[in-house]
Amino acid sequence: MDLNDEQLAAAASRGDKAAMEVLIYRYHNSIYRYIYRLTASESSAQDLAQETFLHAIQALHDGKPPRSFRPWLYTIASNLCRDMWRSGRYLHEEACDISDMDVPCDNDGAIVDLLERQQLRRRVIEAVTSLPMDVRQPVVLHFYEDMKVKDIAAVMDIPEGTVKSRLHRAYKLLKGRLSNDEGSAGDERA
Amino acid sequence: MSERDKNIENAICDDAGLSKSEAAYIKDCLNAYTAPGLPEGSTANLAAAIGQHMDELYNVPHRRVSIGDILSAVAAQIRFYNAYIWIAALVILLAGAVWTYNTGTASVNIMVAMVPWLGSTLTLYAMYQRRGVWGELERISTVSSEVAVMGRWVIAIGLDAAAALAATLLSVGMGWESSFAALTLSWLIPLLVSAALSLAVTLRFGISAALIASIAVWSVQLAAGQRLKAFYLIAPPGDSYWAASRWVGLVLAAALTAWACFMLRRADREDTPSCE
Repeated sequence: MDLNDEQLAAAASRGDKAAMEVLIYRYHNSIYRYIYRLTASESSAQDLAQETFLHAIQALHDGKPPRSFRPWLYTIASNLCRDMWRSGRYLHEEACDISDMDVPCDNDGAIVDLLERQQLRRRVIEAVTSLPMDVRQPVVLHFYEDMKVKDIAAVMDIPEGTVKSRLHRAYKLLKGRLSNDEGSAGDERA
Repeated sequence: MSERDKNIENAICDDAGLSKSEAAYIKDCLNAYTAPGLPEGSTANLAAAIGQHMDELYNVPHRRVSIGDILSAVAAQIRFYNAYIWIAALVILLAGAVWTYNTGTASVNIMVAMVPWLGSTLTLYAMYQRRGVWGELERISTVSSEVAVMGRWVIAIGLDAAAALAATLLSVGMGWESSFAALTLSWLIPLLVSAALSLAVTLRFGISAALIASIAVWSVQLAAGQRLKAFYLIAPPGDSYWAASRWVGLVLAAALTAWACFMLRRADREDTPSCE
């Protein structure tokens, strides 16, 4: 029988290394992707994802295991991102690492198609990273991490109504930015 | 279309009030934002490193809490503020005690006149971004940054309230004519107003403006004195409008704190950069 996150966290807080290892395998990749989409920096995402788990085990050792593990872990990651921005460390990082490397390409795909997908990816990254952080964070949690409004509210420590209004604002902004970009990209092509 | 895609499309429709086709377009665009994978073996390396860290964390033998542990916890709390703040608090207490002893009455003015300075300093110190134990605690706690700053602020108020209590007990113990409540309130109300003012102004205009505002407000209080009537927040207990000035002080402190909370939330939204 698979143990749930909270049971594993409770075991990890008592010093069970195997339980912590399971949690790391469950969440390392998603926490890394979450931080990457907030910071747009691969190296920062790797560092902060590691730090997130270090802080988590320290907190589990020092205090009670959280009632809901996943939002709690994302809160630690969010706080670390915020701390990085406040310290100004991000200024020295590749803050907007918009690489073309990660677009999946099958061998049958035409070069034009690949270039178009790369271009779209770049436009989307620019649109997402240009969102103010208070709306970028909920949209990343909602869209990419499949998080429910209730859990986003717990991560951000804001009421559920505020999460909904921020999501509303975020998708509206994204629609505006991506539609404009599409227009200008179309103009360029013409 | 996968179940997940359908759900997210519906959610975008509901959340942003977009049409089906617009939501589908946003979904397709956002799906293009792929994240690079983790380097091979990094999860295994992290698990191994955390395992080692857990060995160190959990293999420390448990022992009973001793008097020394309690004393070192108290010392850590005292070290939370730097020495100058404690020296300032001590000077204020001593000045108040000497003044009261020399005049033979429970004259609290000299103490409350200096309280705002202490309150402002404590608040500004609470706002200071720093690393160390408190920074670590705030990072791992599931609290927002505004709650963290308000927490520091409450600690600042709490420590000064403890100083007020000490001053009151000292004067009562020495047999000076004073009322316990009067002396404490005469200390706390100006402190609350001062701390709330400096917190609100710091958030809105910066630390320099907060210092100038605190000095200006309390200079006017001291200079205009009795003419301010109920707005003279450091009125001594003998004055007829003493109680009224305390209520005005509390209302002012509440309003300034509400403003500070509002500014804190706004600042929190603005200080996270985008990549524009």
